[in-house]
Formats: sequence, C-alpha cells, structure tokens
Amino acid sequence: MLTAHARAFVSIAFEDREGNRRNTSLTFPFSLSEAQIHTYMDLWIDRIRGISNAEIRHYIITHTFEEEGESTADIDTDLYSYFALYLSNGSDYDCIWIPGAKRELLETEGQYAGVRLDAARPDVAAILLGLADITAFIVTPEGDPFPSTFVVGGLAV
Amino acid sequence: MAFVATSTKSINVTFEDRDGNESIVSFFAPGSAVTADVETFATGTLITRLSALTNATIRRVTMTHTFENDAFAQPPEESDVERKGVWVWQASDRTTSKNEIPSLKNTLVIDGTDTINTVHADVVAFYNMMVDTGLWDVYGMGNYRGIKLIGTKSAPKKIHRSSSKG
Repeated sequence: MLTAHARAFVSIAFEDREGNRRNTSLTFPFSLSEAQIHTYMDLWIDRIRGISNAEIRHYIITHTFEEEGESTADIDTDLYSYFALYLSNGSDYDCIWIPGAKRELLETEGQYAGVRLDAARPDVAAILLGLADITAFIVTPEGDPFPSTFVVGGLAV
Repeated sequence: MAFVATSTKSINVTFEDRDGNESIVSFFAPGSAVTADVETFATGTLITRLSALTNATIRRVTMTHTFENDAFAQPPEESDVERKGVWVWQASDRTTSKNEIPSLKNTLVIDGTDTINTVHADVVAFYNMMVDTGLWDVYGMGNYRGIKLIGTKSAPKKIHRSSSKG
C-alpha cells in the first residue's frame, strides 16, 4: 500500500541576471493545505527579498506517496517492455506508456502475436475500457482534454 | 508579484522491477484540480488501472505543482546565484539541517570575512521567521524530518562557487 511521506517538499528556484538558477527547499507537514503553504511562502519570500537580490522564478510543491518494503514485481518483469496506448480525439493523439507490460495480455496468434494487446479477449477489453477512469481525469501536458479513442481498433474509452 | 499556478499538475509514477530498477511515467491533471482529489485519483484509480497492465511494482507516486512568478523582474547586475548564504540550523532534537540561499546580498557580509552580519535587520527578520514558534504552530515548517528549528549551530557564512562572474 502506498503511504504518504511525512513531509511535503517545496523547491524554490532563484534566478540571477544571467539567467542562472539555483534552488533551495523547505518542508511542511504533508497534511498542510496548499493554501496554507502559499500563505507561508508569501511570508518567506518577503523575508528572502531582504537578504537575496536574485528573483524567484517559481516554486514547486511536491507530495510523494511510496510503497514500503521489498519489490513484489514478477521475476520476469521487463521495464523496457512497454505498452504504448495511443489515443486520438480525431485530430490529435496522445499516448499512455506503461512499462513492465504483462505479456500474458498480448495476442498469441497471427502477425501481431506477442506484440499487440489482445483486445478481443473480454478480460483485456475490460481492462482497456477501465482506462476511461484515467482519461476522464488526466489532461495533455498542455492542459487540454486527453484523447479517449484508441488509434488502433478504434475502441472508445 | 504573485505566484500563479501552471495549467497542469504533474503525476509521476515510478515503476520498479524485481531488481530495483525504476522507470518513471508522467501524467498530468488540470492545474485547477483540488490537490486532495488528485491524490485520491493518483493513489487509487490510476495505480489500480495501471496495475492491471503491468507486472512491475508501483513504487512511488509523486505529485508536483509549479507556481510561476507572474511579475518576474530582471534581477540586478550584482545578482549571482552561486554566491550563497549558508545557514546551518539546529533543531529541537539537536540534529542539524542546512539552507543555502542563492544570491546573498553582498551588503550583508562583514567586510574582510565570509561571515554574515547577524545583527542586520533583514538577517534578523529571516532568522526570526525560520525559528518563530507561532509560525511553527500554524505551518510546521521545520527541517526535513519535521523537527522545529530552534537556532543556528554556527554563524551563517557566505560561500561563492565559481560561476560566470568568477
């Protein structure tokens, strides 16, 4: 089970006249709200302006959850074996990469044997349709809605 | 000056194989999404769905959100991020931690030394904020282990690594 780290991490990027950047960091209780972090950061930056003549370009708030203990990955896990799930919205496409692909979900016959997800199998189709829960929430790196129709096969999730 | 949220929050999922090798895949959530909702999605729905397709362990899920300075002004000529003020803090459990503040103002350094003038009003204001008990009670900003800072272990120093300004 994933467990929250005890601390949220804030990295602050300072920039000088030449555009060089260096960071410093602060930590807060994981449970502290983002609004409270912003309030503290406003105070902190106000104090920093008294001692630093660099400009603060940005700060990044990071929350981490981690699985403790030994890896439970299968002995034959291959992180270089990916599922590349291409989805389209009709005019553009994006991809979900999933390393450590489960080979037992691939087609076993025909020219795509061992290469392509066997979407004709009900259990595999169910897994793919379940990805709708992901595509409905995530967006593209640009912040646009994530495509939801598989490029290969046209399965809509 | 205000710090404005970027249009997306990043969700980085770390996959791990049996030997401890890692591979990271990034997803993005709307910047306007509530952080708690993103956490619930990332640690619940997302890893459940991904786990159905991978036989790697999902070791770590990290969520980051960037806040950009929307009124970034050109820093003064004398600014230099390699010239840092170094504060070594002592926490209430006697452990130490360090903050390096880039581009420390030269006017805060005692002439002929690398020692920071700890009675300068701006240095005092920074110090007081870092050890303030009232702020600690509300925000809990402490060292990386979550322990309250109570003072400095040694006098803060200026360091200056090589940079474009020498």
